Amino acid sequence: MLLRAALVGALAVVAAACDPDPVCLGDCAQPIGLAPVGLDDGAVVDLSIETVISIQPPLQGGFVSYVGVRAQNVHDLGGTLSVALRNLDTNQIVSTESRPATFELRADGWAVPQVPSQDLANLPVCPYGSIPGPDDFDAMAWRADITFVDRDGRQAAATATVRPQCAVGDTYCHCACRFDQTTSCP
Amino acid sequence: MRRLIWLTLGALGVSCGDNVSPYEPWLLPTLTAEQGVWVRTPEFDVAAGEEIQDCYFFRVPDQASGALWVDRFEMALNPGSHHMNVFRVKTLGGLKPTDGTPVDLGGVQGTLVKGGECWNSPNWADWPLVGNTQQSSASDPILEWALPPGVATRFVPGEMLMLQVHYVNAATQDTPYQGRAGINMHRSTDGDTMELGTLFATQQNIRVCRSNPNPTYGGACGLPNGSHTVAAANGHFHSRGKVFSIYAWDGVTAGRPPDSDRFYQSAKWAEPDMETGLSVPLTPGGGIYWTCEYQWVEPPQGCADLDAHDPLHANDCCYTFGPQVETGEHCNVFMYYWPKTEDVTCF
Repeated sequence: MLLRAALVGALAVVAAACDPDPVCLGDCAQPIGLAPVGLDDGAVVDLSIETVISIQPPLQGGFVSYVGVRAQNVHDLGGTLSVALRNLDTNQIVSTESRPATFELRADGWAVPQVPSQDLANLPVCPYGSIPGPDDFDAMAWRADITFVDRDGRQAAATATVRPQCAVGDTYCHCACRFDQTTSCP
Repeated sequence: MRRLIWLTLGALGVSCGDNVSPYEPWLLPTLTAEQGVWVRTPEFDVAAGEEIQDCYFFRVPDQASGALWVDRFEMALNPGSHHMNVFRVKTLGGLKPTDGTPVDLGGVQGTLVKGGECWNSPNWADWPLVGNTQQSSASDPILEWALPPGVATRFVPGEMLMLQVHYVNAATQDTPYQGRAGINMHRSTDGDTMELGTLFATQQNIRVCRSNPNPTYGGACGLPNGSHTVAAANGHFHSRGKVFSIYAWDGVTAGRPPDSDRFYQSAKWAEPDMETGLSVPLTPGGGIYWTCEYQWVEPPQGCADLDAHDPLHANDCCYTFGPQVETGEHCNVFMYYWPKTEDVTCF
């Protein structure tokens, strides 16, 4: 057992030493540029004012919405993306997540998420803790506060408002998003 | 039978010559109906290279009067267990008590679903947590947990509970004897009136890959409005997990709270600490924030299994979300608080 642990530890050190050097997507001497994006019906969409994004079931259960950024002047190995979904009136955060995010360069010079489900924040919703109200979660607009920290410590922030929506006809999703959770969903 | 052999060997003072004491099986007292409820799984083999996850269903027995209030738990596991979780059964999906085979659980009768749907976490996405332990060392196999003064867990007679037991006998964990789990739920007799609430939260989209070997995942889980105090907590990840941290969170600040708000930290993935003596007040409208820090390691069995399990087929030797210890990773919080407003799941 000790030998196994020592071997695993040695391999970990070697693996860390082999961490590849990042390649800059753009000009990393310039500030990072960010544009908020989300996932709607499987497509990455730019976010601006009350843009509709999907509430969808991930593989492991529950419901999530995906929010992140496309970026300029970032490293291809990415950095840490953090997104907080806030109530517009109270500033209360209803869901927040922080995760690694990586990019690939698009022809127009923007670096876009490599894999949307991995490189956008997976924001658990419906129900997530408790729905703060006053309306059902999917009947309200929310502010998405986004920050990105590149591997070299450079930071940037962006904000948008979103309207997360269940798929048409998904009655279980609508039920799970109710403000009133006093009765069970069928 | 194997337990009897080990008992006999222990009584004879037989050792293996490696300074390891013979295994002495844990023993929990049985409880009378007046004292509470006791549950013992049968012993079962865990073959070399095998992972077992079984779900035992049983009902809270009828009570002489009203609800059953429990203010002390004893939870015991033979060495090699990865976890034992107890949930209240709610929405039924693919995992159903009626699909199980009858099983004698000592103080109660139940049904057993072996493997299969018992691995599939969406099946218990809205099942409130009751309790958990990951403590299964041969020298300290029993978690003794007395709830704070005035606080107890409330059960309705007849409500269905599910005890999930996970054992591993493979590269990352050993099960040297047979698997077995036991619970004693001691009835409160001192008039406790505050109900214990629970929070079960999980980061469900994790990747620990060769190309990004040191990822950190973080998230928050809000509690309903009101004043709440944390009574106990523990974290859960697999062998790539290095540091698990839980913080008090104010509900409005984005990102990881300051270290001064951290009330739990563990660097032990196989036997993570269960902190039971906590008394951490949470900001009304807030909740908890938790982080999982990982270190990718070359899998002893090679990358083929991992790549086969990767839903993105990235061929990057990624450990992804999953219950199997050898190929999957987790980032789960088990937290207990009072007074209960509702049981919270952040899934």
